[in-house]
Amino acid sequence: MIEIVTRFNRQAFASQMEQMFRQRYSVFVEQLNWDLPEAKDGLEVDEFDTDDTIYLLSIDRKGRLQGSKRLNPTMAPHLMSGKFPHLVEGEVPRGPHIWESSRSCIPASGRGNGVIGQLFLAMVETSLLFGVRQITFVAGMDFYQTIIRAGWGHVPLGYPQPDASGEDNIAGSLIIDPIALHNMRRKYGIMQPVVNTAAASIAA
Amino acid sequence: MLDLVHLQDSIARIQRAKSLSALHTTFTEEIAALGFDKHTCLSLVDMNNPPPSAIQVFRFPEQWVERYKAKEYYKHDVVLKTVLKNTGPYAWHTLDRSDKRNRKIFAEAKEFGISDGMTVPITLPGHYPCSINMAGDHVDVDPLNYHIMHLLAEYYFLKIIELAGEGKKLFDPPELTPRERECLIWMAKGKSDFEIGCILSISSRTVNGYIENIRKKFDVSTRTQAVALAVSGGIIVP
Repeated sequence: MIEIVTRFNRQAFASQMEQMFRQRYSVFVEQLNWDLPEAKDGLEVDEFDTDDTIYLLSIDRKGRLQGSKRLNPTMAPHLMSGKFPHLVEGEVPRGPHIWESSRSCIPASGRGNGVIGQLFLAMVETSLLFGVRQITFVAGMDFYQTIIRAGWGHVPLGYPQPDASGEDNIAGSLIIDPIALHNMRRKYGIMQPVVNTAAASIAA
Repeated sequence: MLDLVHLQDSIARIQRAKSLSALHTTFTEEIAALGFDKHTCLSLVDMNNPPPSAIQVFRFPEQWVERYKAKEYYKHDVVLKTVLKNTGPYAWHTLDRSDKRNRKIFAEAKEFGISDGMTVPITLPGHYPCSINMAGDHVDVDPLNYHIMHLLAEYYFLKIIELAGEGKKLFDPPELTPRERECLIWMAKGKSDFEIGCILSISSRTVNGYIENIRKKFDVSTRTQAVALAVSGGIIVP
């Protein structure tokens, strides 16, 4: 089950939130060696973990975190506007119906379990609940094939460009609509909602 | 240099292709405008005896392809050998081609209009590791164009799989229990039964039992085969 965690129900998921920051540290700092100066004490938290951030947490029956991602409104400062505007040709897309996805994180032990597909589906379901029509993202090109074959509409917002470590990154945009949800449910073979819809009702 | 609208048009043309042959032609045209006019898309398999689900697209001069296969150059060609070492794309002129065999391969390729190129490796669960190789006579291709061709290659591969049908999927990997998966992950990292037992706090006999189960589930006779299938089936990440 995937939980939608907003500022309103964050207290109830304090343990999983901590697990998330630890897993992000382990994956992004220790495994991928991303340059994240704000990460410390085994926790990867940055300026875009804000009150407005919505987290999607995949939690197993024993309360263990299997994977996570975060969504930020583009009307506020976010990763693409703050750190990667050079990846976008022209203006960074911003608007009340445009949110940004970042920090998709699945610990090594959970890979191959279908968590990626569930998080993708959860993002679409959550977007439809919150009236989000477009999701922007910055991703490594090694992950791009997984993104473009998920079943949603997608366009690149610029050209792949290498970062300081030589890895190619790209900015892109996803079109969120019921057709995307339908295609993705068929592709991943999951025909019912993956998000815990009871939690969504207490959010904004 | 292309603007973004132009690039999105190129992607749209690739996405609209109605058949595999139309797709190969469209891709050839798109990359020709960027500097390379020939390409192949190859699963990493024995080219002279490819399994039915392998992708083998050759848009290189036919004579060269025949020669390349007959001489089994794919066994030595540094371009293909680098596929498994790199997750990212690479330009051929950055590879070490100084050994005798590769000097010969590249000298011969030049006569067929293949002087330089780039390769985009694509690894996708359920499919053989694949390489998209784009090449031509030009040796001074704009660096930005390499990035654009990389992006187009991702869309090209997506469309090949779509048109070839999901029937190209290698196999359905078997379901493993969490313990079996853990053993498999450590086995792939080269740990012995004893070491895995220490890591997971179980006896090495129990570890051996799990691994035997894994082997049976994959229906193979060695552990190495099981690891190879687990990687191509997306159960573990290389």
